[in-house]
Amino acid sequence: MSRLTATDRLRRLLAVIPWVSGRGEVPLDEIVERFDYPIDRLRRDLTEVVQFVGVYPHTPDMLIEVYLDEENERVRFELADYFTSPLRLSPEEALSLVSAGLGLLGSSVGQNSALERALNKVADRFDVELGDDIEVSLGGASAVTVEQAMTAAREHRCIEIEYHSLHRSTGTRRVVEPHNVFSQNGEWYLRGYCRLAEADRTFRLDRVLALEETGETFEGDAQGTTAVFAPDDDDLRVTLELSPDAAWVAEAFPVESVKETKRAITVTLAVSSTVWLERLLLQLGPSARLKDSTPVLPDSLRSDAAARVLARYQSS
Amino acid sequence: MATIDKLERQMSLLAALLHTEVALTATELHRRVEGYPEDKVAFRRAFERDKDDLRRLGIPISIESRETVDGPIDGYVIRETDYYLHDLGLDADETVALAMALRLIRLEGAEADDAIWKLGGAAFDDTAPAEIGAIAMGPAVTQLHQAIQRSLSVQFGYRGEDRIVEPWRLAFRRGHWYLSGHDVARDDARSFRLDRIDGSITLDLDRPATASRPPISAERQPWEFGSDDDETIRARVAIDASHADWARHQLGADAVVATGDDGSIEIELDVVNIVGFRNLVLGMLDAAEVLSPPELRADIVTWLQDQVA
Repeated sequence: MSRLTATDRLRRLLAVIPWVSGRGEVPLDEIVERFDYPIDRLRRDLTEVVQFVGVYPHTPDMLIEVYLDEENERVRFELADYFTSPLRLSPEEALSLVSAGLGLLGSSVGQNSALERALNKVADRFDVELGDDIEVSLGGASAVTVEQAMTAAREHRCIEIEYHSLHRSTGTRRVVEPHNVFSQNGEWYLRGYCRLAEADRTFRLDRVLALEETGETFEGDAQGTTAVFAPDDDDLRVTLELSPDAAWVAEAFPVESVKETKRAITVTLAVSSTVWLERLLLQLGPSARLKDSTPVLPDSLRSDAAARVLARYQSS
Repeated sequence: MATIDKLERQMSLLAALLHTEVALTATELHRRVEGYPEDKVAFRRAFERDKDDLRRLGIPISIESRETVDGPIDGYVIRETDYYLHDLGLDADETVALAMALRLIRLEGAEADDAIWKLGGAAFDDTAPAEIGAIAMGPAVTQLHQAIQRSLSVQFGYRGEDRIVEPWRLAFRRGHWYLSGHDVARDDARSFRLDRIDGSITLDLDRPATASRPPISAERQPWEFGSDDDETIRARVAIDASHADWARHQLGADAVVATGDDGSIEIELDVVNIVGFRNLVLGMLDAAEVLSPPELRADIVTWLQDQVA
């Protein structure tokens, strides 16, 4: 932990003093944990600073009294009347709580969970209409799936998932050792070791059609570092020229570069399969042109895909 | 005088301002709060800095005029009702749930720790998961939310033009905040990405928002978007077994009207927006086929024929 500035310590003390006052005697360890206050700094601040804070005329009866027990392990305050309550939450802080809470709550509204009850109380006090004037989505997957995947990752439990890979256009069942769950660009992902692919894979949770624990556990550091979804270097890279009505593509997918002129938007993005690209091109039609790709794709990619789909209509 | 820690001096200033009934003048504070330099100019400089520091933490220092023998003079005070936290009535498990949410979701550009400390803090053991997502906060979110709460129009620059918007709703999606509202000049509903707003946002106190907020549209699928007078068409689509599970998952089991022996299905949908419908169908490439009505089938066929070289 880096050195705390005077302001960092003030922010903490204004919350610590009321919390301790409302509780009598409190172990220092608990303050350290709850308020992220390094123990040595805390001890010194209590005995060298807080002890001397008081109001005019600074007679002993006007100072905050700090009582540490003999082992220097527990503390209580007296005469801290003016610090009996913490500073109110600012509108920014209330909105921050609401945003993080709504993001995590996802679609599991109506379950009367502790988080949902807490959010309703904050929202009431700050006149926020949850979901009506503010909504937060960290991904399209159901909150149940996200929660199940997170639990499995935390407890090192293997899961079997039925996964619809849009890249391959098929559904598969596979056993995964889940490492972590994260949200990026508005979608929930699960990163883990896939026993079918025999390699680490990233799965979009909204494409997990079914998820169940296999009963097996796995070894390893489930926590890991937060995996950030990054395209592999050997992924296919394509450059598309988009007309303004297809500008949403630049926002919907993690694009690597965007060039915008009055008449067209040029984006470069990594794609993990040609099926995915075919689908996007057919959907966008005249609004998108495949300008370039590495490795080079046949010029007829779009045309062949269109013909393949058309064949289905002509045969029936 | 031995140097008194800045922290001690600022806490004493805060205590003095909270402990007084009447606003205290700078001169009185100089006398009452320990730790300031004797020299008046040096005191004033330190005092102004302390005030700024406290205000930056959101501490509401009011300036109130007071009658003195020398005439009215500005004094400083912190009113308890402005300072003290309103009891939110949170149960212990509810505070922990909020703290957990803040631990899992990083709020960029916001000091979220303070909010949890004010609620009494929370302790986690080492098995608690690390960060799983991030939301960019910032003054624009708070400002626009205030405008929504107070039903006020806002003005801001967007894509090189000045806009006047009656704000309806803030939504965080696909990693960005969006404001939806009524664009006054265009007399139509519009959506704005907050990080694309140029410069500052002004709340227009003289212009109450009058356009009524439409009901939430989050549940609508892309093919359901449209205005009230758009026609709704019932469409039937055949989907191969390879995509049947996915389609059932996306569209709901109710949409399925027939199931074939090979696992293929047929679904029916109410379509308002043809582009949204086309994207759904083409998303499945040759695993899906529009069966009826003829005009939707023809739309897909023409769309595809235009793309065959």
